[in-house]
Amino acid sequence: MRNELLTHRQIYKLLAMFLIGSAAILGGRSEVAQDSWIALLLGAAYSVPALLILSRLNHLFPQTGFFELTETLLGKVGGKVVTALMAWYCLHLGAMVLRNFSEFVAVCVMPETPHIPIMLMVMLAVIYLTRSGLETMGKWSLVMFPVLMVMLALTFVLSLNMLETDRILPIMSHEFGEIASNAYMFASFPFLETVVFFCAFQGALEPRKPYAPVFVGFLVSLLALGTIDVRNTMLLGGHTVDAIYFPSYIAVKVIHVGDIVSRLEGSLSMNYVIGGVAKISICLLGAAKGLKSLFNLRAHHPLILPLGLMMSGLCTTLYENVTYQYDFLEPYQIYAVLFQIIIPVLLWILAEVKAKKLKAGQGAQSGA
Amino acid sequence: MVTFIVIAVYALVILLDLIPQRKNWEKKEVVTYVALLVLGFAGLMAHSLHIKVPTINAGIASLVGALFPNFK
Repeated sequence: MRNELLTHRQIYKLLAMFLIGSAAILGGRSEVAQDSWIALLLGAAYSVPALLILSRLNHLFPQTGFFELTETLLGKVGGKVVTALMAWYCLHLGAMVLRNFSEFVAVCVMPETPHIPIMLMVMLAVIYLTRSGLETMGKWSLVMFPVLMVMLALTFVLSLNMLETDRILPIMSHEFGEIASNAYMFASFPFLETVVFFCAFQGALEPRKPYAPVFVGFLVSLLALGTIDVRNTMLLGGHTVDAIYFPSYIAVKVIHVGDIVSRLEGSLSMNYVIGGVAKISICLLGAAKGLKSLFNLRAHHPLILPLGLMMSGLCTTLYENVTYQYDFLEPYQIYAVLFQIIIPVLLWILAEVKAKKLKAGQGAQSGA
Repeated sequence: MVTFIVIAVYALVILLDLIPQRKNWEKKEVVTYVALLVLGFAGLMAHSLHIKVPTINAGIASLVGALFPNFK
């Protein structure tokens, strides 16, 4: 099998699309209303150490995939346990994003259409993209990323005459503690989910300068999500954003420029398709690689189709309706700590020790 | 109609992917493939037939609530 590598441009574009993904349409809802942009920035700051840790892992063991690395560092049993946990997280996250997507379509676009046909149509596109290989995913990102960004910029520029700056004032009207605790919600969804990106792509990232593309992707997504957050707050007001489902959709719906430009929400749906497909594909790839490693299979490729269909099946059993989707964000912050913080930190500590030992061993050999 | 869509998709997957490719795969790969297919099929069929199954996120939320009772 070819050892496919992603270029720096492909990495940052894929990562940005992965992080913007479902957060673009779900995001911005926060109890701290007009201070949510501060919470977003703080949430991004919380995530930086985790990104450094994940990039460092890739730097220390550039040719090793995430799941192979867990076995190298934790031994057979420990490695299998961590692999099973991370594969589950990839699968669960992918199913949640797929469910967000089908809820969005059911609530905003096609209320009479059942969930399953929507899920299966999206999932078949995701399976096709993921089965096409890393090279295709990378090239797809080069084409789709500008489309996503142009759509985003367009909705912001066209809403400029309707933005009311008073709606983000007064700044810091909430206590810092409240903003800081809300910031963690933004960290766990979406920034710390970057761990899934590494599950899918570690070993395929170019070993030279591993930090740069990851941080460029992170900053681009932060800029995009910040723009969306501020736009939604200035158009609708912080409390309205917190009270409604899919605030971005409603915000874009109110944009009218004369009689010519209106009903831009269609473009938002397209954004969601692009970001959603990117995120689910990466989750699916991560889960397939995890199962491959868990069961010692030759390749992850044959698992993509059944695993994608299983993700659709799992997605139907996640919760009953759209209300539970938002209710789950609170327990999710705690649930995700294991996958987003504890496991990467454990692997990083062990990787540093192992790398030091390897270096000492090489030094002793060359000295002899 | 939804049940028919699910059955049709799975029939196509079996006919166009599993049967032609299974000779190239190891037994372990075929077993994993079929197991995943069955799990997904069970979930989708249960949903299409309006059979109530325990929701996974509610289970996770209860577990988090039990472990961290003071968490809001």
